[in-house]
Amino acid sequence: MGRLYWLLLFMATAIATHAAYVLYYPGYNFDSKVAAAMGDGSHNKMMMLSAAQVARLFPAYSANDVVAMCRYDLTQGPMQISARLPRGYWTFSIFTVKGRQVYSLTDAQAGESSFTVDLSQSPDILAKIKGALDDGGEAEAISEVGWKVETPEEKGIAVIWVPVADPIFRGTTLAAVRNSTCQRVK
Amino acid sequence: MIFAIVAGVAAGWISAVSLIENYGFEAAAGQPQWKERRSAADHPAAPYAFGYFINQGQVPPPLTARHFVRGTDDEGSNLRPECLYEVSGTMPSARRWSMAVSGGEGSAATLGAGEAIYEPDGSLRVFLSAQPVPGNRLAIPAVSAPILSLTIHDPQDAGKPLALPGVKRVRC
Repeated sequence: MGRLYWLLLFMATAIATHAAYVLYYPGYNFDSKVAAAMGDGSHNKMMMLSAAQVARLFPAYSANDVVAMCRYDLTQGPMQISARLPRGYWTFSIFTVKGRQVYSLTDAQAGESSFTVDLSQSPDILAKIKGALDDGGEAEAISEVGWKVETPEEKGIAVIWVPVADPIFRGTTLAAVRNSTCQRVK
Repeated sequence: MIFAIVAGVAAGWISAVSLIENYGFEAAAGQPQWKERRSAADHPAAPYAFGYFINQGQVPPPLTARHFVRGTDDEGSNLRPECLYEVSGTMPSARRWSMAVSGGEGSAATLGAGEAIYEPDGSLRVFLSAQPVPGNRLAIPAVSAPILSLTIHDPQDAGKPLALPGVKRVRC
């Protein structure tokens, strides 16, 4: 009986540690490392990344590509991301702070090079139940106004990636992407 | 009691680190030196695949891309910074590709499809070397275990095995 108790304690501790390391620790670790790479005051604004920052943060992109990133924080309310991109291949992705990609868009899917996305946190299960009761079951009706993305985490990053077809076009590409914004909905 | 808790924490931590390093990737079909990131968000290994990048403070490759890594040459020997390697082959049909060598914090050198010089037949040769060499080159960082990565963005055959370039050791 005594051995079984110690074995169960060992297993419970191992499972809890494993789950915490895989599911929760990465989020805190990632946020602090992104903050270190981007500097203070980098929340809720669209920032153009330097080649060194791209190389540091994005293993899938060339350092000479144009990358814009917004570290969103939805604790104060929804955000709106407006992108003004050049013609050609680009991707727009939204990740949670734990690295889960919750939204993806490419030029081929969008069909246009300018778009606006409203970003908000998805309501938790209690809020959903309460909303459903208050609205007679209509709470989950989707608004038809613009593109809306709901993320399960209040923090994360939105990333615009525009690969440069030739290094001589980098300046013009950079100038076009610089017009993109990330700001709180007023 | 303390021993059981300490042993449990150690076992949980070691198993998590091991699975993040290994379970988030699988050998590429027909090219086992290349390991492909498991990208399906609903795959049981997804948290480990994300964790691999997140724990290094890196943003995971987008789900529209297929991401491959390797730390060895075609003979199975570990890549070494004092050696010269040739990465050669034809890139899979895709909207874009990018290649990088990493070691330590982030990518030490990168090469994108728009920056590369191609052979007349459309194939590609990239040298991995700490010293300057003519042509396409990725500088290997002076670390004990450099990693070569290749990302294929929006591949034409998204669900099929991709033919990836080989890595031949030229000299050390």
